[in-house]
Amino acid sequence: MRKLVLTLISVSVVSAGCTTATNIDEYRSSDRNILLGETEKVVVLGRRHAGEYETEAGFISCIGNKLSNGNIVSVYSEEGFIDQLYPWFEPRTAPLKLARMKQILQEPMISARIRSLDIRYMIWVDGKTEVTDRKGAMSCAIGPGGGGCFGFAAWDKVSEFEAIIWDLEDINEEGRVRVDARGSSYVISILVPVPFLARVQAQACDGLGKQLSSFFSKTVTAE
Amino acid sequence: MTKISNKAFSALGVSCMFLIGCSTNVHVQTDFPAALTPEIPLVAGLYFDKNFRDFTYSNTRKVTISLGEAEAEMFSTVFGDLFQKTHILDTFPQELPEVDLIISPHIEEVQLSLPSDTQIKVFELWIKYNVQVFDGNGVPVADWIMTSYGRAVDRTFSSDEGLLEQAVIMALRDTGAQLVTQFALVRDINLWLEQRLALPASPGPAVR
Repeated sequence: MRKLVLTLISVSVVSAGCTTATNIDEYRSSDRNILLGETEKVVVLGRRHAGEYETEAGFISCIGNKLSNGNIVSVYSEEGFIDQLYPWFEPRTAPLKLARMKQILQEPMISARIRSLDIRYMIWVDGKTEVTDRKGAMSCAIGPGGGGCFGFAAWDKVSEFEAIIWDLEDINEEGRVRVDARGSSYVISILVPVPFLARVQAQACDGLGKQLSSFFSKTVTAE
Repeated sequence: MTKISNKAFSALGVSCMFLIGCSTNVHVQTDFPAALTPEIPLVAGLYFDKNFRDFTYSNTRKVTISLGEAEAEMFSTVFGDLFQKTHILDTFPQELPEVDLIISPHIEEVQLSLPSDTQIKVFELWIKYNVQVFDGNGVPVADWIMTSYGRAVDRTFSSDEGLLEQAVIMALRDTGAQLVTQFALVRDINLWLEQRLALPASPGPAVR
């Protein structure tokens, strides 16, 4: 009985500590879903123009994987797109506003290249994950008889991302999704460190990916 | 005597290992993508002098970056797409080739900022160039001073070499982006191009 209570307390502490809270807001320009044609693709790009941070390439590929998991959206790789359109999507030249995108697409070579890649929609993702608060201390030592760590350390992480969907054919904004995920992680150590890590960025990716997927439907072709 | 020599040799070996361990050497090897740009209907000669081709940046923090080879590769790729035809020149100005325009880039300055300098987890690199442009007779057209920028954000388990290489590649891509989007807009180059391309009696691009 005592063992059971101890186990229950430990499990509660661990789950409470690692819980992440995720909020998702969305705006849609239309009530109807975006209908993707048989060959039409979507490209997800990370914004890297800000001075103090850049949207991680790993996060962009995570969203791409979530989007393509449902077999509705076909995703073109970010790296491939940036190379194919070089140098128009580099940090210095990338269009951050729809008006600039429209201007870029007026260059026949660029619009022809985008069409040849079958890319109809572009999703801009901007955001970062950061550690907001650190508590506790841990010290480790090593000697001839062995080593170990002792202490407790905790930290909070916040992931805030916004995704904007652009239609490259009609040059308009189809919608926006904003996600923020928060979570606390900690490490307890009595000789051996035991980490309990909150997967904040993974939660943000999951939430954003699922919400973005809900914008799209596949066109059903009549047989 | 042999014992002393062996000891000295071992000490030297250990010292070398420590020195190598503390230094950061970056040799950039990458392919640059083709530039998507309208072609200028002229033939350009590219001249990379020895300083440019062998350019290596080093600082007191034992960071060494071999830039020359990658720079030459990037300039050749971008100008190859920007002009109808390009030639790599071996000598200049001793022998003037039959081209419309000669471009000779020089690296004026390189600045590197490491996380240990700024306390932010970013490796940053600035490259300042002087892109000298001459007409086919070797007469100066423009000295275009241009600065490109690249950075890499420090992530857990990333090596300094890997991050520096990433920052260099970003800076070189930025150089290419500026060459494509701004070369023809530089005042003196723009004036020269307007005159050259608007000449009614122009025999067209001098493809030789």
